[in-house]
Amino acid sequence: MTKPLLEVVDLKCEFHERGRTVHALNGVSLSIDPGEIVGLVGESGCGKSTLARCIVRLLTPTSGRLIFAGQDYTVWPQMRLRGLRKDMQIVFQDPLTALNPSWTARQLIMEPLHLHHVSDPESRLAKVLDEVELPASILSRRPSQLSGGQRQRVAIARAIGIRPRFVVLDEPTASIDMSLRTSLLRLLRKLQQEDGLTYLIISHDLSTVRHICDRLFVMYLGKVVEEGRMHSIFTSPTHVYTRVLLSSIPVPNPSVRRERVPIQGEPPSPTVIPSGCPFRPRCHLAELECEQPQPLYEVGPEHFAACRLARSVTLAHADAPA
Amino acid sequence: MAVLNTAPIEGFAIGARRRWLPVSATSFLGLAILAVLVVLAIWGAVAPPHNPLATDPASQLLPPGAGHLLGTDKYGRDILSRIMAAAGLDLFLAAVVTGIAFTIGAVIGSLAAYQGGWIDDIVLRVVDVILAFPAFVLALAITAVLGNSVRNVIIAIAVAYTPYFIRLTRGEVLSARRSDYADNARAVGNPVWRIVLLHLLPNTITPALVQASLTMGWSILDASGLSFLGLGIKPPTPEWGVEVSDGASNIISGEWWTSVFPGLAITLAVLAFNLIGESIRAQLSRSR
Amino acid sequence: MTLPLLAVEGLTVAFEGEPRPVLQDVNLTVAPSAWTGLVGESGSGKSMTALSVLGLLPHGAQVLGGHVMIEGQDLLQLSPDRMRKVRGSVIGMIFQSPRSALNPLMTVGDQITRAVRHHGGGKNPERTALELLRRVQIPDPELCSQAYPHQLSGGMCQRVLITMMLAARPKLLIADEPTTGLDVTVQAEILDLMQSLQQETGMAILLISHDLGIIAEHCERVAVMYGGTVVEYAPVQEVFHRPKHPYTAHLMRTLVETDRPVHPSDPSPRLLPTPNSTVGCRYAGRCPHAEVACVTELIRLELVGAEHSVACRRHAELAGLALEVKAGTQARAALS
Repeated sequence: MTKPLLEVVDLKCEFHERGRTVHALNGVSLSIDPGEIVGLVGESGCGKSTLARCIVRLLTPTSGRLIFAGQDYTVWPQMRLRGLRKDMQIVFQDPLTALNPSWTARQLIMEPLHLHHVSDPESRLAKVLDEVELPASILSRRPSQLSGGQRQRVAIARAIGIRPRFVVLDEPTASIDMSLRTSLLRLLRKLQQEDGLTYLIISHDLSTVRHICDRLFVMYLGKVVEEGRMHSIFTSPTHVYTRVLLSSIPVPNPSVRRERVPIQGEPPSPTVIPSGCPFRPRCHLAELECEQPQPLYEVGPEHFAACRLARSVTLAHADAPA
Repeated sequence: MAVLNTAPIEGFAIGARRRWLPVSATSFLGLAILAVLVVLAIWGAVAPPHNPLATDPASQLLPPGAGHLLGTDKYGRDILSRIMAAAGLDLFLAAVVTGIAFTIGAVIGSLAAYQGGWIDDIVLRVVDVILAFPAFVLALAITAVLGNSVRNVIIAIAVAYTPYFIRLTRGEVLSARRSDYADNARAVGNPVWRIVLLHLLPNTITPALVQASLTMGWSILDASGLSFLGLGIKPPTPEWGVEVSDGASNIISGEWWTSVFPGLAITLAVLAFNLIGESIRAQLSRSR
Repeated sequence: MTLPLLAVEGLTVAFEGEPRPVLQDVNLTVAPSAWTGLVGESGSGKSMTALSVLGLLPHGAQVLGGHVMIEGQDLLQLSPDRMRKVRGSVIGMIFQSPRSALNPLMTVGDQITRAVRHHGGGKNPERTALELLRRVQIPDPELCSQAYPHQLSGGMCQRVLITMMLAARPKLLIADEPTTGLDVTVQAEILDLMQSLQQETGMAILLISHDLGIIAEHCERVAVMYGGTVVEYAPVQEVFHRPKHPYTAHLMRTLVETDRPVHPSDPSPRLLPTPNSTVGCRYAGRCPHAEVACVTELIRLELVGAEHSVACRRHAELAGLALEVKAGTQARAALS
């Protein structure tokens, strides 16, 4: 049984702004093994970006624990974290804002190599460029002079140059044209295989995640509502929110008609967290017992859902969309 | 908006290079005037037509004409030579003052913005106090305390203008601090000083450049104003304000050239810096 | 075949000083009460087409030729005043980023009331405004109408914009990426809303998007744009399952899973078209089936089937080749 590379234990994170408290994370637990590609999906307000930032300690969680390769780094000071940063990197959503606009691509990719004292940075630079399939001619350009796809590759090169063990990717395909998405995902998969990376991919786009992730976590209002192997979740989505989510994805095939699972109300604000199951106010199958905190029930092998429907497994299979 | 999707605009963004020297009518005029003044300053230092300090009782108050292109003052000194000599001093003064205010202001402002907390609070309060006084009045007070010399004038004016740069840089860095690239810089492993100096400052410096250009002009005005009032730089040192002061009494008697020409020099200098600053500002707003 | 509600013919638009037109000979029709989709990558000209129809071209863009026919009138010939009347009453438009399309200083209710009044709202525009809010399924219309745009979510703002558009009862709604940036569940709701409104009012919809999923789910006919022109225009089933243009086929292939090797569209260097030429196919540079004639001949959108138009001179020869996207791969994509 391999030891997990990253463990997140009951993580909570609150912000205080303008007199209100935003409960971004309300007890998230997950673990990622080395070599896995794990997906984290959810819609706006679910806390996935906050979770990403807590994991790389750009934010400090309010409570809970973060453990990387056996070391608890939850409250490490920034100085001590620098060593960790060699092993853990993040690629942000929009490379146009995530890359310093006045730096050239060369400076951007070289900087981590210098900061972490990589020997022979020039040859590492050449190697990384090759890996992300970028020509050397882009090195002298600034982010605004590159195309969207090239920018994202520079961001990836910047992150993997120092050979981290774990990379968090926040919406990696969000700012890229659809025809380039496939090639980017293919690149990510290739890098993962070649360099033995572990990924946490955060996305609101389930079709992106479907193509590349082994396991999936579904978040809603700061909690994990369902987790499991990709195939398992897509064939037997159990939590009502997961079912709503999956049924809302438009299928690019006009011959397929999908039944929508109904959802009521408006997307919630993380300032008010309902008791028990966070999805309760919008769930068309909610019952009184949903007001109690729902544990993660086992649905199948490595498949858990925090929903009373998980208890009646036969019911779960019957309701699964075709 | 959706319009930005179209190819021509995207192509333009990819092809355009950042241009630091704005080339427009405004900037061209400003740079031209500045160039003339610099040439005059160098000329005046190396080989002025006449010795700016040499008095000549026989040639007092001569009107502009052959031999003395801009006339002579009440001590018989050639006004053109004095203006050229003063150009060197005033431009030097402006550059040093602006350099000090800009550098110190940028460093303090950006560190205060990035660190936040009590450092930021203290810096802000000090800035508020200094800015409560009009810059000239403050420079005047400081010069009066420190004494009259070029060095003290520089210190006085620099103190008066540093807060502007602190506030400006602080504002820019405050918003840049929240940006994704600042977070990215931190995530990659940069220590705070690198984030502030290498990542944030280069992107936030342009408004400060506009301010710097304007400060060059204002500091010449302030220095001249101080010497006109008899503080700071005193005669016989050639300085535009000193010269205006020297010639002020002669206007009534009709010898207008003694103060008008130095005054014109001040005006042109300030105009040049304003034009340059304005064109940098226009360039900045266009690229944003 | 019924007369189209909107017929764009040979529309060519260029920016001043740019050698290549941003729209080149665009041909598009929208039938009354039909839902037509317009797809393409960014830079393909789909938004520009919409703006041209509405007479809202950005500064520096000029119409070099073509017609935009609606109800017998050529919109390109209308005076700005007449065009303003057409906008809103005959054609409505909703954009991406709904919040920025609303006035941040007025309550939502006031804005809708104004729209109602502007389009002849009758005796009680405030009542009508509330009614319209109810129609777009906003749970608490009274509360919502007193809110300012920044207090509402993106989905609610889009519904408000739809409300304002409904106030005018247009015959055609142009929706330019109306749900991009919204959560997928909200997107589904907004599109379902548009569908039910379409059935209620009989208006036609031109949906512009880069998301093939929503196009497949809602549109009856699809126009595919590339490089400033329409390269294929056909019923949705045809476009997805039996595309006739190599670019459309390429798009459909990008939908399948990544494990399947995707044939890279290597640019064929010898065939890059000259930049400011108006002949030749814009896709030739990336097309694996391009020939020399593809760059030198005038390529036009031509009707080649009952309702299928394509702008490819080789479509007949390529019909037998691997352009068809297999039904099996489509089924696998359906499971995602």
